[in-house]
Amino acid sequence: MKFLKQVGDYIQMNRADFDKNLIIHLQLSLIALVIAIVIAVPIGVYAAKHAKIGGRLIGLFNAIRVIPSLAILVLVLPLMGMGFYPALLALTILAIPPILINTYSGLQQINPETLEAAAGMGMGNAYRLRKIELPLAALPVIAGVRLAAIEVISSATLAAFIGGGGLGTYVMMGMSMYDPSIMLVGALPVTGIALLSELFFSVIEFYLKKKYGIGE
Amino acid sequence: MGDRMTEKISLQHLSKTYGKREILKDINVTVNDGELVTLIGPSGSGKSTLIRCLNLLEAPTAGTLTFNRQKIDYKLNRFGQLTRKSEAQAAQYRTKVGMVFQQFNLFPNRSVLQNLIDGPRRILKVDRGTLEQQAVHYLTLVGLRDYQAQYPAQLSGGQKQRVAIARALMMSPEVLLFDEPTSALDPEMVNDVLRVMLRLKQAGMTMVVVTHEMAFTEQASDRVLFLEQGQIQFAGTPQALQQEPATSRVKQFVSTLDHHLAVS
Ligand SMILES: Nc1ncnc2c1ncn2[C@@H]1O[C@H](COP(=O)(O)OP(=O)(O)OP(=O)(O)O)[C@@H](O)[C@H]1O
Ligand SMILES: [Mg+2]
Repeated sequence: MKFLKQVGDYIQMNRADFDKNLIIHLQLSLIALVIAIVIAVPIGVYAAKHAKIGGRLIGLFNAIRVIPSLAILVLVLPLMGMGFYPALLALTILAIPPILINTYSGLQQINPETLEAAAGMGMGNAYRLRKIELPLAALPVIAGVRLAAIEVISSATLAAFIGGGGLGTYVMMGMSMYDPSIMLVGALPVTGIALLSELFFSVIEFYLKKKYGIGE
Repeated sequence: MGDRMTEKISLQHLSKTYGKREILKDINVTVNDGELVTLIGPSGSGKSTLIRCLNLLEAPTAGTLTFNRQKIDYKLNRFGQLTRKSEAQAAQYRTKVGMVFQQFNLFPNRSVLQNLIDGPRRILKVDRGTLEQQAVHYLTLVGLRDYQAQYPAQLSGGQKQRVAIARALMMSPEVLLFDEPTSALDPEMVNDVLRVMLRLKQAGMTMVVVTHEMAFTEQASDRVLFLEQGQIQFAGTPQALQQEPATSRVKQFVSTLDHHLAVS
């Protein structure tokens, strides 16, 4: 309780600064996520349609997935220096693999006979992809975006370490000042955002499942 | 049928190989306008391959396909599949030769109505209002008028198959192909589907049906083809089939199937 009051007081006293960092955190997360979707979904589609190259691409991105987020953030330093954009790049790189891999596997999981029925009534490839395949892969793709979102929101906390700003700023500050309540000024809202993001995606998933009449 | 039958679809000297295996050997099939031809034969004899060659879902390795006496041209790539260009032309052709599958293959993400409308809306460029009317008409024909808003997951197998038939009809095909349309159904639903098929036959639709339902075959087909090891071993009317000696291959095969009740 004491901590919570201190956190509240700190935010009240540093309102403008806190809002700025909160917005940067949200911007970093959201923009990274959107760019990642725009890049990962088409590559995932390509990979699913070209078995040979596809398998290798997926292997590559699975490997990227293993690299810890802090390592990726530090790796962009020599390339782009410090600041918002390097942090954005690093977060985007982090967000791509889960979306790409889920797009790929989502498309692969579609019953080939369903697609055959589409071909059998004369649907062309592009139309079939748009009308049948992508909607059918929507659930796994959204699950991938959901994973990526959590990854990005929590890793954006580390952006402060390369001068990207965001709520991680308070975590760093609290650490250097040995003041856990300042760390919480960063950590609590990040947790809140992460939970909201989970809630948001589970509502979408629930709605889609219900719409298609698919059980749990 | 008139005195002189009009040829609808034919495959001459069809052969199909997968790698070195010849699955179909010099098959000749002609189906006339309004005819119902059933294709029977043991598992692996090539029934699905043959019926799929009729609408180019499978590319014949050799042979001539004609539709309304016009040759349907296609080219194969080095994998023995249709080239990109041929695939696009085949898509056009397939709108005229519809296919109903054993596993229904409805689009699970689309409602019954959307399943019916999606294809013709885009491919035939018919307007939505007309299509909706047409959809209600065909859903009524298959006894599912009240199911427009349902999703496939909410339907029974027999209902799915009837939706699949309605969906195929929406393209206004001139020929309908059925690959074991009732094999995945519980026995009590089989007749619902067969009855719809009989109704289509009475309305003059040209049909090729792979089936194990001998009662339906005897009652509804104009001709029966018996396929074994990639070759047609018997072709004739159901009456001619009855008169085959009990020792013939086709009779022996038929005796292994159960005779269900006649379709009522
Ligand atoms: N894509 C393929 N590649 C290689 N072999 C195939 C392929 N498709 C079918 N075959 C082979 O061709 C033969 C005929 O198959 P087909 O599916 O046409 O038989 P069918 O008469 O329909 O059998 P069933 O009654 O079991 O459906 C089988 O031996 C099968 O293994
Ligand atoms: Mg078969």
